[in-house]
Amino acid sequence: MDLSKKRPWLRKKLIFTAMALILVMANGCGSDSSAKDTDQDESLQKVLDSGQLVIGLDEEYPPMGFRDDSGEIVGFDIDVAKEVCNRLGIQLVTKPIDWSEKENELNSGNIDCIWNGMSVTPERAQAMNLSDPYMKNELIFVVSGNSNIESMTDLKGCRIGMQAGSTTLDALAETSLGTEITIVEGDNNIELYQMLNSGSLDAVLVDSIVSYWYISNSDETFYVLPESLREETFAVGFRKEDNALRDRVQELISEMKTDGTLRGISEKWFGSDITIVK
Amino acid sequence: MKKKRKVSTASLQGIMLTFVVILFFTAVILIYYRMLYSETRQRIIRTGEMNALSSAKQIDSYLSTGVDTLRLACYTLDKMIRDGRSNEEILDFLRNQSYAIENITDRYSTGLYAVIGGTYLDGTDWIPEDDYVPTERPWYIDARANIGQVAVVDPYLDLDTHTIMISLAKTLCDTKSVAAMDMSMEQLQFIAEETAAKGDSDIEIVLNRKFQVIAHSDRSEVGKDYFKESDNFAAALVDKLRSTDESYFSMNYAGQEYIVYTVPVASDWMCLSVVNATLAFGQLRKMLIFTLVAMLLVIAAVIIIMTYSMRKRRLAMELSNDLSRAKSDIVEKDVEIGKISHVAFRDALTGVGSKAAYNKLKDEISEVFENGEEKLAVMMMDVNDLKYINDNFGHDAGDSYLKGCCNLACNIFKGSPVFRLGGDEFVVVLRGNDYDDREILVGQLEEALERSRARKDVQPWERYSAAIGISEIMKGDSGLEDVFKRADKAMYEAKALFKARYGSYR
Repeated sequence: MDLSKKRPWLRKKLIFTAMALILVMANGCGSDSSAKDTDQDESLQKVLDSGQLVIGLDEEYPPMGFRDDSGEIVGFDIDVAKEVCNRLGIQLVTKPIDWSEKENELNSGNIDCIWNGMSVTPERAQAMNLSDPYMKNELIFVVSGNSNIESMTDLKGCRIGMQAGSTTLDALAETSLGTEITIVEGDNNIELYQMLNSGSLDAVLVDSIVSYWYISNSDETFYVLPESLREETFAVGFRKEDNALRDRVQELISEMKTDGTLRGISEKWFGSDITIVK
Repeated sequence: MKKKRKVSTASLQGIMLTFVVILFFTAVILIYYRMLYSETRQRIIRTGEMNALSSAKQIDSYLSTGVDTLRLACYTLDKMIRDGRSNEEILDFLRNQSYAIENITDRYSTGLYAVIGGTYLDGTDWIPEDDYVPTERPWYIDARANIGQVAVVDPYLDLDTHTIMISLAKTLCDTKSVAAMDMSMEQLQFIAEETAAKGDSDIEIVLNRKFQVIAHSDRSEVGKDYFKESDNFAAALVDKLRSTDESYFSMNYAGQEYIVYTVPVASDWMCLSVVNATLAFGQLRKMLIFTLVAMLLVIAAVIIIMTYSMRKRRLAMELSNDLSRAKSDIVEKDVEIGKISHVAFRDALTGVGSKAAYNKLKDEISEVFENGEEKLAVMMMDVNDLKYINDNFGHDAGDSYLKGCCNLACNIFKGSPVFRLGGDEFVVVLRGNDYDDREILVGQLEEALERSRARKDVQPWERYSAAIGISEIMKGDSGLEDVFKRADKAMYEAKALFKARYGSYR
């Protein structure tokens, strides 16, 4: 007790130390609250206010997004995007774009997002605000039914078609094959198949998702080479700063996974649920 | 009142200090606990990671055997299709491959089957029912939707063997033909059960991307679709798995904390190692509670001891305060009594001893008379004409006159006590030197009195005059009273002589 009388500074020090310790503990014990970015960006509100979500797409990318016989833009991505818009209480607006100009379209504000089987790459993840991946895709080589090409080694010196602005170019550049072939760029996958049919191409390097659709609905015979170049995932791309919009859309896609809507859409277009949404 | 407040401030300080001490120790213990807690947690996570990784490795290697086998067979099948081989040739190939596969996989697979150009070919010699439509089967549909990949088809429970079977399926080059093989997951089930049985984890689970249970340390869970579960552990687990990207996380279910470590296997499956952390932390919590209780007990004991000793000290202090107060009271009383006695034993006017003082001396001196050796004399002095002074010059003058007479005697008998017995009567007890010089001293006093009486230059009350009688102690005296009587007698004789000589007054 003398302590307190003779040395008040010691008492103060003790109190201070105890308080400091408790503070430290309080910090330490605090539950790891998610440090979610709370500074509100206007992206979601802007879309809600305008009453529409404008998605940019390659209109020749079946079955993700393409024009059906009646000229209407339909597809797996369109169905999912439509459902997301329904849940947001707004209209979906589809805006066909030049795939090689997709980043400019997005950043100029012409479209709110790119939603059309866009492959995830480190560069795109850097330039855009990507959703979680929702589907897998393989880059495959397809040859026509009368071709002698049976494996990748047979491709040397051939003319190979691939879509401008797509990841196929990067993927090919990573292999030794890249320097030994002639690359022919096409605007979209359908055009590439038509060029393959007409004989102006020896092979095409295309997305397995489109090939599944195209070959299934074609009377022509095509062969897929046993080797695929690489596996990719699809994601929706938003402007880098549009966190609120991206998070809300992601939330709704996850919700659709939970209630089975997503599974239904996948089964409609692919016969089974091939989505990889968590 | 003031004292009481002081005490309460002190005890408040005590409470404050105690509080701070408790706070300090609690903080120290909690921080230590926190360290232990995170240490234990880290250990659980590390163990979980090791479990999941080792399980994942075994599962991966097991599945890759199947995947690689199928890929290999598909290469040949692609080539056979491109070369336009007949279905009979292809069926032969499937049969031969199935024989090899059965042996390579320790009979966990029976072999290959396929749809080639729309015809179902089975290398395992299984004969399908009439209503079996292969192109409507999941293995066919899934393979076609996953061109280029080996599709891992949803598991199903084989009713004959009661084991979980999965199908691996892959499209062939024309994308319309599909080859597939079934694999028993009994091996994975064995791995899961083994890992949990070793006690490294509480629950081991292998889930596919649709959250269907491929293997589970609890066999009865196998084949369940966790995505469709609700309000149970499985549902909570799926929720957590869907909402996190972390390789490990903790989740609470039914008041228990579980730490879950996940490792991806076979491209889109996951292997989960679940540890019930509440059990592990329970021990730790028990220790914490024990430590806290022990600390509080120690502090309580210290407080009790301190309070007790403080109270004792305070009691002792109060007691000593009381004592010293009592002592000072006594001293005060003594002083008071002393004052009173001083008053009693002094003559108020002249300041010499009073009659009481003389009586006291008389009692004290009585033993002197028992051995009779003491040299002692008593001198009586009776002031003359006091009544005359009082009557003619007032009592103040009378008082002054008395004092003056008394002073004369006091100045001469410096070493002897002088007493005023009342009125105009004084007595001086001579002992020691004054006794030895008594003749001289009495002579001096008589001379001084005579000189004063004879003065003409001062007021009548300043002309001091008194009759003196003296007597020594004599054999046979029984007390001072005897000596006093003789001195008194001698004094009266002297007075009579004085009156005869000078008349009643000047």
